[in-house]
Amino acid sequence: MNMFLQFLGILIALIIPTLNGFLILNFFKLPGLSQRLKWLIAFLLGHTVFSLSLFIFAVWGFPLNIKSGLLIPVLIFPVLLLIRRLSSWRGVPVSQSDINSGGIHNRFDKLTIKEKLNLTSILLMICAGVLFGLIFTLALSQAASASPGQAVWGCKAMVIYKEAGIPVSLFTDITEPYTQQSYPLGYPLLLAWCHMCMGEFNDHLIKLVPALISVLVFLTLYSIFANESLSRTKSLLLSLLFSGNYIFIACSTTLYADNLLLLYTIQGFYLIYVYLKNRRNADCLYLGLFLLAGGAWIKNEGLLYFLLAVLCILILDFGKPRRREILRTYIPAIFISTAVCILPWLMFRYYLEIALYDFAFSMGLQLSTAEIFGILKQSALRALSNMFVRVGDNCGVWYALIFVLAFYGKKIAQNKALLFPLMITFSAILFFILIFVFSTRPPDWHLRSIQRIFLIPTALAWMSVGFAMKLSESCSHK
Amino acid sequence: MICSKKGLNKFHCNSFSQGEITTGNAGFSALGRDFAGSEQPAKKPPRMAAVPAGTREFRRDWRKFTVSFLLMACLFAVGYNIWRLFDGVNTNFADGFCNRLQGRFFTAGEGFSYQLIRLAKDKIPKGSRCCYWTIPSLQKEISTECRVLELNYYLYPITVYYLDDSEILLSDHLICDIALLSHLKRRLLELELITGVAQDFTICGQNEHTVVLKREE
Repeated sequence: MNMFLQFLGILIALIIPTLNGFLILNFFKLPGLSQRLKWLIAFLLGHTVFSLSLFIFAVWGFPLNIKSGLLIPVLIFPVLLLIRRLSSWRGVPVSQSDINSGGIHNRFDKLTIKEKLNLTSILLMICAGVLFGLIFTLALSQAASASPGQAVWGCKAMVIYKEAGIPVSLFTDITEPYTQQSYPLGYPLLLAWCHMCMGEFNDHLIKLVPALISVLVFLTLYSIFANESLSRTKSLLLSLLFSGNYIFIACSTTLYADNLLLLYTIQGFYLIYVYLKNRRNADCLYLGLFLLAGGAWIKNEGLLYFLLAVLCILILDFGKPRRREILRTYIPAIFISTAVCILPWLMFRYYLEIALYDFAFSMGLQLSTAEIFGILKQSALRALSNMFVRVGDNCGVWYALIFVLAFYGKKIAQNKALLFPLMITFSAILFFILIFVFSTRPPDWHLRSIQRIFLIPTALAWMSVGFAMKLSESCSHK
Repeated sequence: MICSKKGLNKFHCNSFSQGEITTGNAGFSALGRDFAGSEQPAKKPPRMAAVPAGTREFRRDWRKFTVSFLLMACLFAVGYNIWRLFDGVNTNFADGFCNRLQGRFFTAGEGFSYQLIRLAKDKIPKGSRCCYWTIPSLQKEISTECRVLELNYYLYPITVYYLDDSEILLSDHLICDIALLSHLKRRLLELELITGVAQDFTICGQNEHTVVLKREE
């Protein structure tokens, strides 16, 4: 019974930030998105604001407990009302076509349950049910697995929970191996908040959090494909194919933060994609960049994806005649996202002089050309083998992507929205190959976790394949 | 006949003649005046008519086949992963029942780590100064780091150090891999000779993987 109550505690811990996020989301006009996707975005938005508020509370010396957590929605509500009053200038005109372009959720709402489901989709749903059932069972049936996740993230969460705050020793005391001290605190704060809602420290049940996040990833991918008017069967199939990725399963059953970062990035990139597709609703751009910046509050890797997104949208729109207008939209979006999600943590790190644990630019400068080429060659070979050889990590998606590029490359090149996820995918892979040059450790050390590095590019590749499927459907209709 | 008409270049001619031969509709509509006898002017044949009969269908079928093959391959990979997942769950349950029969907590899936933690938890009292000791070449090994991190996680607030020699003098407990025990004992002896401090670490607990040493007061 106690275990059940603690499970309810975890659910409440996730629902409170979601409600908080939904409150904030109501200030944005997102007519092209389904209600399901809005709730999923609300979770991340709420979690970002919630964990940042907890961080600011801790920096100001307030104790972190369930009371301070519940205080956040109470404090945020008047602030939101004030913003609402002040921000009437930012009303974005929304056309009727935007309201109608809600993807299949509009079309499907009119159908009966019998019409909605066919045998294939029922089978796929059963497969997904089995997959996630096994993920939950595996997460709960093992005591300690993948100790880096447990130790890096779980340990920080435990210290935050037990100390009811963020002790400076968490970052400065080098004898305590809370390694990766430079890692942001978004995820440990979520875990600590779950412990607070459970009422006690439970390192066993806490592993349900990444499992629940993996379900949210599945639902997000499904909602994205459904929102792009792909059929239910295709949406389910593509979401299942990604969720069957072994490294995704591994991250779902341990305390790794990769699944949460994945959720941030796919939602952020999709919102930017929606903006690039219709160019009417700047709210999607604001939210997308905010979520990507929120990813930087989860892992340092998130900062890379945020920077890549900014770079790619600037490159895509560089030659536009209405450049000034675009810059007027982009610069505030980038500025707000950076100021809210990235700067507090960077300033904190600067204040405590916390350097990056594994990387230093001086390392790359010390290497000879032959050494640099050696590292690049090794990294590229491992990346390629991971992409095209490992069956368990769903290498099929990369072959599918080659197929898509071969047959629809010209059409994709003409469409900036479709080009965007592809640009991010390949630039991220390229960047990960290059960054090992600046590592303080031998590249082999990083390359052991290359599968985890490829989790987000793989998800983006699946998204690109899904969008291309829609493109092929529209081509065949013509 | 048509090729010789003024204004029709070679491309039109080729495409038209191919269309005429292969696709009945294109030819019929283009030569409507000649065959059907209607007054409709001859329309310019569409470019798609240049493709031989069945090519378009073949391409479409080939694409469909490739897409289906790729999706099936991916589904196979998903099935394989679900099987691996099931295998993992099965092993964990088998371990769990074994643990319960031996009077331990059910969820003790990962044998190695759990044995390390259990041994350390049993033998090292809280608040001890504990050191995870290993040979320098293994310092950056991910498995060693994992074990140290995990120890720190479960034995908090016990401080676990890496192999810094000077810290050993301050520690009252040492944990090391049993495979490295003899090597580390030699190192300990060397250290004792260098520092001149009479340290006597005796084994207070060991299993097939790990050994815990305690400093005699």
